[in-house]
Amino acid sequence: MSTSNYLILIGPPNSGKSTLFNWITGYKRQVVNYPGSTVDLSIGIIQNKHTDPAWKIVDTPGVYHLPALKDPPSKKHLYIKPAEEQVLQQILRDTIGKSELRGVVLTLDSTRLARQLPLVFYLKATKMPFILALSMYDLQKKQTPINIALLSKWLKIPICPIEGLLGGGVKELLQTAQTYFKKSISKQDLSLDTATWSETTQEILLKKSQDIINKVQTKNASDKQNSITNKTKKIDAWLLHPLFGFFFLIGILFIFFSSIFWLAAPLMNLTDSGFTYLVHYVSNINNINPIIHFLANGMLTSFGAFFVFVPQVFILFVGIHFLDQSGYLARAVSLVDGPFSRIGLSGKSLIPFLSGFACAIPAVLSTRNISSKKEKWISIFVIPLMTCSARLPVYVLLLSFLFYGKAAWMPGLLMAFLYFLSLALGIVTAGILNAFFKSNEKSNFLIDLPLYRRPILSNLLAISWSRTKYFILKAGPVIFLFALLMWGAMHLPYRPHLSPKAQIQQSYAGQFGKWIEPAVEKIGGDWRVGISLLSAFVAREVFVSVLAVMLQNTTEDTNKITQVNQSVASNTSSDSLIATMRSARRLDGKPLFSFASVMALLMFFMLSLQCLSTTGIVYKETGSWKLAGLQLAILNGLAYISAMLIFQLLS
Amino acid sequence: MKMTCNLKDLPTKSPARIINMHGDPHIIQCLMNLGIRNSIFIKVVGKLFFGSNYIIEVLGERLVLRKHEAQCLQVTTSS
Repeated sequence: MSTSNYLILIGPPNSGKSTLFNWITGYKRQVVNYPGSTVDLSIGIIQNKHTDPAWKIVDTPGVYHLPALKDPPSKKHLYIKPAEEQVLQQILRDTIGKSELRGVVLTLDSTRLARQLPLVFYLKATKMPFILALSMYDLQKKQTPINIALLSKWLKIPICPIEGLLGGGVKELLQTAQTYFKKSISKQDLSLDTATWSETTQEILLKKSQDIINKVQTKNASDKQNSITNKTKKIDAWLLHPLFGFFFLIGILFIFFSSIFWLAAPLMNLTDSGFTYLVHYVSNINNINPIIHFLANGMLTSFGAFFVFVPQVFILFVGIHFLDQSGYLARAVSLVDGPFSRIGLSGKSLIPFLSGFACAIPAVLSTRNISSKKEKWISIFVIPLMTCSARLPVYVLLLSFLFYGKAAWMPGLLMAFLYFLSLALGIVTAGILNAFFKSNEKSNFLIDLPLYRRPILSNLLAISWSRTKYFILKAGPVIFLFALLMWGAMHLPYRPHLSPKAQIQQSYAGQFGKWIEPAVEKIGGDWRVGISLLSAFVAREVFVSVLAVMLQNTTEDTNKITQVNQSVASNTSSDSLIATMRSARRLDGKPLFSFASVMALLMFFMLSLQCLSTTGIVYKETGSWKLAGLQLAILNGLAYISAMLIFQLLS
Repeated sequence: MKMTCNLKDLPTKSPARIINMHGDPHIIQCLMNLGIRNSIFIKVVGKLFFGSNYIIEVLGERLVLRKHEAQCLQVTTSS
């Protein structure tokens, strides 16, 4: 960290900490109603004329318990720190003494003060200077008002009430920080290991907190408070009903999923057209130049295939944050924890699975909220089985081929079946992994059920955009690397004098395609299908465009070439491409695509993990090439064997 | 009639007082982090689908926990 003055924002999950961060910095980021979604730290510049502009603030993951800055001498810790506490401990260790840390802003939810106040005592014990920000004070005022001056006197710290919806009180908080945090903190001033508490001490602190709250409350729980909580209780009577609750969950998820597709469609078409235009434009500059060729056919094609799904990812985040901020996500996670825990997963795995239906990369990133390693790894392993959007163009093409000229509902029905099958396969796989994957790790599930609230639209959009941006930045370099590798394999050794067909045939990928042809024949394909399958390792949807190019370059009919070119440019799954597929022949003159071979391809795509970008992210998240490699090998092996069986049975 | 039992055996909607927290220290710490302690009132509001998760009410707020976490709480009904 640089030499700027820093403030650290600490608080329990769902205490309005990230909303406060947004108010202070003007940098909209994470606002969560579901515990533990801020595992990464964020740094923002304080946007206020009353403070020195060099001051910065660090948002930390939500914690219920303040980790000791120094671990106890014993190697065996009875309490396993959740990921959030580990991150906070690391931030505090990294910041203290190494940068200009001025103090801590402790954020507590004023409507839940009795349970959260012990954090004040933990922080006091470290001797770290801090001020207390009481969030959701607007809600608290309507319920059981607190005498802030009296509370401040009891706790002997400055307290600033913050209104969650409008951001009232932020200016006063920053003024207090400016005057209260006069010098930077050094290690010598702190007590680094006092935050390890015995159960008895913690009990005393919890009791003390309750006593203080009783003293500072100006009146007892009013009817208004009861009306706010009663509303939540009434809604919960239906949404958390042992039986109906599950039907509501399915209904809500159905609306959620369908909106991802229909809301994103216009933006996806726009992105697709934009990239198609760019590819053509760049290609026309000088397609013989290898750099321009790579730019057009390697980088832009791969990024186009990636960016076309960004609208879906954005809408997915909007949906998840809507459920989150409204308070329903905590309920949804609780509802599925029962069935999920029986197959080695956690209720928290629901969020990665939901994301997995759009794209596996943000899904893998969102497993950070799962504290149990076993549950996290099983979730990561199963995520690629969810039908991500990248499979859609492939499914559309293959199903359109199968039901060519038949009623439109038939491929639609099979598509729905494929979605259901992928979910069922995920559940079965998780169950099998759970049986084999033995772990002594303690898994627990304790979750707060927040009050239902109306999400703030501006915050919702800003947070979703921030998450989407993070997703793009995280996945971008990986996609670039694999685009480069795949383009290199398909175009090297570079021989510009050769025709595209000969170039591909003689490339490393072409040679490899010929080499693997006997294996591809077992699932009903030939070397062209083999290369298309290989290219899908950049991104699954690339299969469609590469298959189109392969068929285009290996057919002698010039009319067809033009048709395929047009279909690639407009919509790769259009009728002309299907017509080309229907007329494609093997060397022996038999049709290349039959019912059996297409069904085998569908099975292969359903089970395989072709997206190498996902493997890269899995490695980043687990820190284990062994695990990422094993997942790649098992899922692809399983996909190949299943496709082979399907082909042999149906042909 | 006064009844002492494990939280998982407590009938739904009967208020009870926590008299002992025992078992896995990690779970005890997690329960304490959420403000659950001896001598406070607790109520099982209901069970979720599959019956392995409990909705409880503590200090006027609701939480969800698993059966094995509920087993760590010994409670007594007041009368």
